[in-house]
Amino acid sequence: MPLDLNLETPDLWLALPQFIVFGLAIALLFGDAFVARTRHFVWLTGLSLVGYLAALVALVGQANENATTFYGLFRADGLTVFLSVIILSAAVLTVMVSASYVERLEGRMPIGEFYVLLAFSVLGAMLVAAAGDLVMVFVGIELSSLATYVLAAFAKRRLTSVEGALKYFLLGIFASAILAYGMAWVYGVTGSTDLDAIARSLAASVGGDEFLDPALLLGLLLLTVGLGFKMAAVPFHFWTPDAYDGAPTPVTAFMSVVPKAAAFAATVRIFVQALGPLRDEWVTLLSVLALLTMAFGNIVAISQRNVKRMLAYSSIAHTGYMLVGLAAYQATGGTGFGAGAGDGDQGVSSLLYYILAYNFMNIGAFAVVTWLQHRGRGLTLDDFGGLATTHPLAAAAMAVFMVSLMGVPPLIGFYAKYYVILAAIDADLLWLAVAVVVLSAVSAFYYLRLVAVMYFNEPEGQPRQADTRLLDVGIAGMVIATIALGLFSTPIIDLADKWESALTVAGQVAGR
Amino acid sequence: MPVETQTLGENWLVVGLMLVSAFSMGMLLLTLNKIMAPSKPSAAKAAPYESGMPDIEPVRPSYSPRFYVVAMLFVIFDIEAIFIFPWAVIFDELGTYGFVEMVSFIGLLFVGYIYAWKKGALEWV
Amino acid sequence: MPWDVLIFYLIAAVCVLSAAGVVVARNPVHSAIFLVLCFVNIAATFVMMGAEFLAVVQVIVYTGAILVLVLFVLMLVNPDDLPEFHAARPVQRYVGLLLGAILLLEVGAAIVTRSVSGEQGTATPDNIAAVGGNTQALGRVLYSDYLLAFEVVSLVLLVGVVGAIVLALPERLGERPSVARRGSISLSHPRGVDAALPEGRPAGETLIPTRHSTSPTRASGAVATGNDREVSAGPTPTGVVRDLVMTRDADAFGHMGDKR
Repeated sequence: MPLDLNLETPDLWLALPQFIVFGLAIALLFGDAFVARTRHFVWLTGLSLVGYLAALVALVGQANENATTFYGLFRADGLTVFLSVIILSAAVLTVMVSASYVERLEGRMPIGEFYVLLAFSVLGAMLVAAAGDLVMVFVGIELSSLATYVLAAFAKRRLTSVEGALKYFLLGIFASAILAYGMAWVYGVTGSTDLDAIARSLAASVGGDEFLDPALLLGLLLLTVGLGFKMAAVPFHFWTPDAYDGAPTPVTAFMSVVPKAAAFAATVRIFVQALGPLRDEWVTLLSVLALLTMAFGNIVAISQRNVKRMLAYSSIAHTGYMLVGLAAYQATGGTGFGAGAGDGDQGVSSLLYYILAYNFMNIGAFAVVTWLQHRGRGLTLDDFGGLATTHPLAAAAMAVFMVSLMGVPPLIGFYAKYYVILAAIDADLLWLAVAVVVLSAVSAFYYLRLVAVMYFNEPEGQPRQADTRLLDVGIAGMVIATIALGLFSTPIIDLADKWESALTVAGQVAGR
Repeated sequence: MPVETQTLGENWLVVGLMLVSAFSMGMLLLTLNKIMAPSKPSAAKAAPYESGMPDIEPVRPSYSPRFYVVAMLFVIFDIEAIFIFPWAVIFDELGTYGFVEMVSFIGLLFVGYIYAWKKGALEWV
Repeated sequence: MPWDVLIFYLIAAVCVLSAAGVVVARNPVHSAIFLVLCFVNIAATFVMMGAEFLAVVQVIVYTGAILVLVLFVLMLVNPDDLPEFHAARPVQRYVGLLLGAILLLEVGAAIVTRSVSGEQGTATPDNIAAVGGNTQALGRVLYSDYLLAFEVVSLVLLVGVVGAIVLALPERLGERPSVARRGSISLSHPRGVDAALPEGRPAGETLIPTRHSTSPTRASGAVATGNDREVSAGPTPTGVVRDLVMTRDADAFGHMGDKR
């Protein structure tokens, strides 16, 4: 009988990294409630760093797994591991960037709650990356978003923070509702919420020259809209500039990476793994979105005088580049970059590599902004004037991040775009590849303008002294990663290629 | 299979009757009140503060945001309670397994309760 | 069974009309009451579809808890602070209507042309009846197949607790929300003016343009916003200091009462 109870004990060890982050969140919660406020800064920062690093180490245990537990709700495969690495490293960097900011700026925000919410947001994103079921994708996204909404409003005495968070929240829950509605349609058509079961069901029913079921098309459309909101793709980006601008800068750094990574994780899980048989339909949809997003983000970023807003639009543009990678998905269960061009899918690997690259350079850019805020500088372009004379190292770091975001050769940002372009060409999307190149050239204008302002303008006013050791270490680490991970990109892209283990079912059914 | 008991069975008829009678009872009392009670409204009676200084602009009673926090916590624990219903009806089949599940679920919410308590969200001014 | 159909149409009609009432009503409290009506009718349709558990949840959670929350918020928030629900520009309204119509058309098309192409799920009426009802059926899947999701939901609720405490709890006992925040957070107005608030400046110093003012003003002292009521933000975090006006005229009672 179908509704029989079959109780099996879940394999908890398989989800060890996720459980470590969960334990960290609970420990932080108790630490926040029971440790004296004066010790919060040192203890909870240390606890967070140790926790995330422990989870990173524990990921090694998942590295070569391809297994499910919790009745198929949790998947440990290549995709889980790669995305978890990105999310956890973003978490470590966010802790380093935010510690002194939360403690000292904007009227001393409660640091304990900050870390608790950060940990829950990270856990939610990791659960999306490891989801094997539509329900899990949804619940994970909700956990991650809910914590992020609160983080965005964390400077609650500053009206822009509250206002940006309100917009983020309203549009975010709207997107969640649309996403859930889309999932309901997909469930209605396929009779299952399990991603592999959906793929199996669709592979059996879709194909040939048959007219696609309108219900399925509607579900696909609603899912695209919902995920588009979450990843801030044009035309679903309205909340982005205000939310990014209003949130405390370290939160902006976090928001621009982890929720985006979670949204792309959900997209890969749902579109590639479950709706793989519908590839032809959603690839068209995503390539149009990609073009719009790239063009809009880059062009509007030019007119921004506020660096945080500029980076917000730049992050929209980067969503576009990532979408190009996804639009280049080919439904062959091939072997990725390792086996040479023309043989298998490169799109998802290039997307994963792009998110990793984006993680380091974008959090880096926001980290330098935070660093300057500590020294009494504002957020406009003029505040960066003459940085090279007053703070040569900070200026150099910012220059590295800007040039990397632009995509200049030895740096990680170049390789990210390189792989995306390769994937697009391989998937016969030459026009998208050309668009990436052209719009990268457009983006050079505003990235290099910031560099020029730092190096050629005169400094204004006296900088304030500030001691931000953890932040300094973080920025140094990100500069090194931006340079080194580009030069040694081959092993990383090989690791990214392992995402295909997620396709145990969808890969077979798509088979050519 | 007795599927028809799931649609408009007699049980729901009773519920419907109860709703109708409750509604009509309320309406009846309100109407009676309207008809029988003397009603002489005046501006001074309508003022929020009937003595002392006249208010310069419309006065709104000032509620503490604590009310909101309590309402929020109520919603959250309400939803928790909802999750316990389907567990309770099949508890005998789930056995120890289900017990552990529910203990961890409630345990997590209990952590939230301790946290709210410790943070002073349950204290009253 | 014509009675079923008749009752369904009655419930559905009330539901749609009250949903429209939620949107159309000018008074937010009236909207909330319409929402109650709508939710109760949705619960009734759930009953008619044989989903008793969902109906009860609908009543307990939505009509009971969420509506209480909505009314609390309406009491807490000054109506002047609410977003301008009815003041949207015509363009926005028509775009919204258009998008809604398109969505409705799509849903309609999908329902009209429906054909279940995949396998039927496990939760068929027969299967549900076999295990004793849909509460039991829900329990069977929720506590085995969806165990992880169920536990993660408790985390979501936990984040809700933490978030409510972080955002809504005053940092000190007795603290009131800063009065200087008077003005509306409109979803359409340009972002606030205090983007680059440097460290250490008291938060009460900022002011966003009120609804009636034409030019956004950065407040760093006393500011007249051109409103019909003058709002002055002092440099202290406590914000507005109103002039105390006293009147000896007893008729002022009547006048003030009428003003409401």
